[in-house]
This record gives sequence, structure tokens and C-alpha cells, in this order.
Amino acid sequence: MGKVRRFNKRGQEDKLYFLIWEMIALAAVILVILIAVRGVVNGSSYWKKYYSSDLALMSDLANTNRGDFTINYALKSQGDNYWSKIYLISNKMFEISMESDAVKVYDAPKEDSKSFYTFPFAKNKDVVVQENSVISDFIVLSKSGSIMSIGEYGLSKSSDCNSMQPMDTRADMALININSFSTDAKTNLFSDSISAILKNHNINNEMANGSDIIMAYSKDASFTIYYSLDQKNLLSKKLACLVAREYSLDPRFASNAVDIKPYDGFLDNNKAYADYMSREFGDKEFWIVILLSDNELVKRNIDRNQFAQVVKNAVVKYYG
Amino acid sequence: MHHKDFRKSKKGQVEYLLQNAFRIGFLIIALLAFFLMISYYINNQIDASYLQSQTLLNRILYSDTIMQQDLTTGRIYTGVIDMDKFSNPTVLDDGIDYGQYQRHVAAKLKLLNKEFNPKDQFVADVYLNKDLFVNLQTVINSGGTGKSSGTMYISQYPVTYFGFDNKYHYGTLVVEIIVPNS
Repeated sequence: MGKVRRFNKRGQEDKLYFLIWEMIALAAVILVILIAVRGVVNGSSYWKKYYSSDLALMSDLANTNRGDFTINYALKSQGDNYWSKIYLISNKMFEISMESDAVKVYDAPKEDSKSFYTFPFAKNKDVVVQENSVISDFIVLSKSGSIMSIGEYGLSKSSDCNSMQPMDTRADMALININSFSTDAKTNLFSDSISAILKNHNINNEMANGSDIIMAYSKDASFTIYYSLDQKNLLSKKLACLVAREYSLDPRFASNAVDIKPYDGFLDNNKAYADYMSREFGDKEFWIVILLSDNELVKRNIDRNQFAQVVKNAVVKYYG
Repeated sequence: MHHKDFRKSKKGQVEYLLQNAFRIGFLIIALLAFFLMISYYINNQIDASYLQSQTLLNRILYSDTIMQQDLTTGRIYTGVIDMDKFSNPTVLDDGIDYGQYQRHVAAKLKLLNKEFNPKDQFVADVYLNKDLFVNLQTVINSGGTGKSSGTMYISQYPVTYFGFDNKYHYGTLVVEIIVPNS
């Protein structure tokens, strides 16, 4: 009977139908498989686990150290390539929430997220966590002073000073004893206040081989801190940076901008200053010059004791 | 018999059903096997327990929790144990506070005097999450596995400590950290 069917036209028609149905079945199977794989790829639970644990463990370590740090953290870019477009894989965005004792990761936005992952971290008792949520593929985790926070890219320049480590024993001894001088009468009292506060904290022992914080005055130059060219170790640069940072972060001084520059032999283009610096500090390696102007001394009328407190805080943080 | 009539006959339908049942059954088995293979080979688990233990270890060794600190400069002397801190039984819970997530990790620090021969002499110990540590240690020692158990990491470090006899001593700090299974 079968042999007969193959030779008549109706038999060939049946075979065509059979092949069409087979192709439809095959297409259905492939579609089901693709949907299943796409479902797995589109799942976000793995990345939520990954980011929550990674960020929380880093936050944990941030609470170890007394120093400041900033981590620029790029989330893996997903759903933005040739294959993802073909398979209609969506670009996953996460909302990362920093809480006082844990990092939580949601699908963005948080309100629409079906599930979230939490990974705890141990907060140091002296650290305050600024609770915040961020939706971004590039986040910044930072600890500045006693404040730990999470945010989007774009921290202010003054928020971090490079951590410059002493390279040898001689450098390690530098900046342990810090003396304060003044180049003129206008900043004498500032210098005295700094000396007094450093002495109270056993940092100023008036030793001959100590490092120096030199106060100088210029009528209308912008507020600048010059640092000596100990380029091998950059210790003075670090101290200059810390003083500028402490000053600009102090609310009493209303975020006044401070320039930091290496000393290149001239101070405010004043030859008398240059001669003085060469004579008094030419042989020394570690020092900074804080150049104040009438803007700080007259217009803003900065309190010398408050300013000395800023310098003291910077010196203490230098050791952090 | 005409083939049209054959398909309409009961005998023909049974033959078609038998052929297709085998085919569909085989297809279902193949699909299931495929899904199982996908789910088996996709790694959706993250085991961060070792990293967790190392993070805690760093907190203990490099923070001011038990180590000596110069209060003027804030500098921490890693490797020099402050016995005033170490003799406080809640020093770790106070300094390393996991807030509401107390089942995250537990630890025991044991300080031994290395100068005592022939065997190191016990000086003091201190716990982080003591109840959790004791419970999990019992489960681990009895060979328990699964979610109610955990993984223990043990390490030891040479340290110096200022004893109550007002002398510095060489010691060994044994750190036992247990991370609960999740």
C-alpha cells in the first residue's frame, strides 16, 4: 500500500504536509530553548549577589583604616553588544543602596524590584555612614574623615590626597617634629598658634632637624600652599594637600578654594621671600609655605586659632 | 483501501498516535535534558566565605580594635597587642559591629605566650559573636554540614604584647574564624 502511495500525487502531498509539520515542531523546540536561555541570561540574581558582596566587603575594609580612600567602581556593562541585540537581552541597571550596616542591591528602580540581595559589613564605631541609593553603572565608594558614602562619579578634587608612603628610613623620620615660622608680622600670630597647638599634641618639639610650616603674607595673591620638592617621597606635597583639604572641608571657612603648588624658587614673585627661603630653608627638604592674603586676613578675618586647628588636623591625618 | 479512508479508520488513528507518542515523548526527554544541562552548567552561586574570613582577619590585624594605637597621631602599631583592649571580653563586638546581621561571621582570638617552653602558654582569649561561634564550632566538630553548619578558617601570627607584669612578651595570636554556610 505504501509503495502505491508514493507514486500517486496524493501521497506526495502528504509527505509535504509531514515535512511542514516537522519544521514547525523543530522551530517550536528552538524557540522554547532560546526563550529558556534568554530567561537565564536576563536573570539578575547573580549580579545582585556579586555586587552586594563585593561592595560590602570593600566597605568592611574601609572601616579598618583610619585613612581616607576613594574607589571608582565600574559595573559590568551588559546587554549592549551584537548578540544581546539579536536575543533582545535587556541592559540591566541596578539600584545600589548603602545602609548603615549593609549594602543592598535591587533591580532599578527599587520600587519595581521583585527581589534584592543584602550583604552586611561591620561599621567602625567612629565612622558615620551616609545612607544613600545610586542608580548608575559607575559608582564611587569613598571614606573621607569619619564619613563613608556612596555616590555617582564626580567627587570633588579636594576629597582625596594621594597616599604617599615614605620610601626609606630617613624619609620615615621626616615630619615627625614640625616647627612653625612666619616670614612677616602679618602672619606671626598664626604661626604662634600653630606652634602652640602642635606643641600641645607633642608634634612640635622645636628640634633643629624638624620639618617646617612657614606662614607668609601677600597683599592680593590667591590663597596658596607651596610644598618643597622632595620629589622622591612627596611627603611635603601630601601635607600641603591635607592642609588644603582640611581647610576647604571646614564649614567655618565656607569652602574657600586653595591652590597647591610645588615651590620653584619664587614665592609670589617676591625676591625678598625667595632670598629668605633660600637662606633659611635651602638645605631643608621637608617644608610647606602657607601664603595668606588680605582676602583671608582682612576680608574674611579668619580666626588664627581655628586656622591652627585646621593645620593640626592635617598633621594628625598625615600619619593616618 | 483508499488512504483517506485509512486515516479516518480507527486502526489508522492508533498507528498515528503510537508513532507520534514515541516522537513527542522523546522530544520532551531531550528538552528536559537540555534544560537540566543549562541549569547545571550555569554558575549562579557565589562563595565569598574565604574572602569574608580574610576581610575580618584584616579588620582584626590592622585596625585599632585590639592593636596598640598612638592616641596623639592615631598611628596603629600592627602586631603589638594592647592588653587593656584584649582583656575586655566585648572588645571585638564593640569594634567590629555587624549591626542586625549577627549571623554573618564569628571569631575567636587566642593569645599564647611564645616564651613559655616546652609549649605555648595560654594568656587570654576574646570572641566575636561568641554564641554563634560556640554553636557553629560544635556543629563543625561533630561533622555537621549544610546550612546549619559553617566553614572554619584558622591562622596564626607572631605578635608582641605588653603584659600585666609591665614587660613586652613575644606571643602567638591564633585566629579562628567561622563563616556560616549560606
